This record gives sequence, C-alpha cells and structure tokens, in this order.
Amino acid sequence: MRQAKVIGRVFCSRQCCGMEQKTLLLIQPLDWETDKPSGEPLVAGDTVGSGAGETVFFVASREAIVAFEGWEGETAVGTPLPPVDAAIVGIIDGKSIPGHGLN
Amino acid sequence: MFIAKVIGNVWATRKHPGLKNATLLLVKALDSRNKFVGEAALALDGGQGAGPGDTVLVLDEGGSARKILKNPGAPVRTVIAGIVDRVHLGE
Repeated sequence: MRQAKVIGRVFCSRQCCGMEQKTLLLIQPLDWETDKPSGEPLVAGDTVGSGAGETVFFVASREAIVAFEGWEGETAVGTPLPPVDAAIVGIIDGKSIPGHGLN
Repeated sequence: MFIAKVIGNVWATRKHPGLKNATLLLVKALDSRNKFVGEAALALDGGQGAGPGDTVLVLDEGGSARKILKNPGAPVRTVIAGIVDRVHLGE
C-alpha cells in the first residue's frame, strides 16, 4: 500500500456502472520516507470518508475492488461493484520510521 | 515474495473494516547483498509479530494475502509471511 495526499475530488455526471454513489478523489502518491511526491496523481475510490488535504494510504489493482465488496458503509451492499483500480483504505494518524536509512 | 526490512510502522484509526486491528508496518525491499532497493511500502503483519528492525518475508499477492490474514474481505496485497533468520547465498 502506498501513501498519498488527497489533492482534489472528481465529479462525473455520466460514468460507468457502479460508480454512481462512489466518492472519487484525486490523490498524489507520496514516498513513505521522504513524503515527497512520487509518480503522477491518480483518481481513487474512497472507502473511509477522507477529505482534501488529508494523508491517506491506498491499495491498487484487484484489491481496490475488494475494498468495495460487501461493505455496508457509505454504499449499500448489493450495488454493482465499481470498476476502480485504486481505493483509499485508511487515513494516516501518524507514522514512525526508526529504520530510516538503517543499512 | 521478497525479502525486506521493517523500517517503521503506521497507525490509522479510520480505516477500511477489512483492516480492523491490523498492524501496519513499513517495509523496504533488500537485495541479495542486504542493500535497500526501491521505495518503502506498507504491509500488514501476518501474525508473526514482526517489528521495526526485523528482516521479513513479504508476500505481494492478494489471494494469498487474504489466506494468511484469514479474512476474505481484506483489501490487502502486501502481507508479512514470515521473519527471516538467515539467508545463505550459494557462492
């Protein structure tokens, strides 16, 4: 899982099946150790109600859909699964990296 | 799977239900000469109680990750599968 900063939100009036009730957030992946941007911003489905400016962690590929499977939270169970390839699954409260550069 | 060192940990109260009471550890891959390679990644402790400083075996595939965690709903791909005691190189 990678760290990212929520930098915006994406609204689509017409979108693919299953993505209607899902919050789509624009996130900038960050390096875990340096907190510097790493890679291009991407759009991820949100499962924990994160807001702009928050530092989150997200999963990619198949696991992003698993994050929406059978989950009662914001979206009703039984709605079609969103075809997403990135999903935010947690908001970071804090981290400690004692092993930084330990080698 | 790849060999990595646990370099730290992350705590997050608001997280996906599938990650409830999971221990979040930051791991960084090691090459065969024990040097760091690539970027750190967040992995889940697989129940072996690994902590910062340990050299661990990290699994990076969803199906097996959910098997280790015994939780079919866990949206996770990176799980620590074991704590490495020793690596013997053939040469």
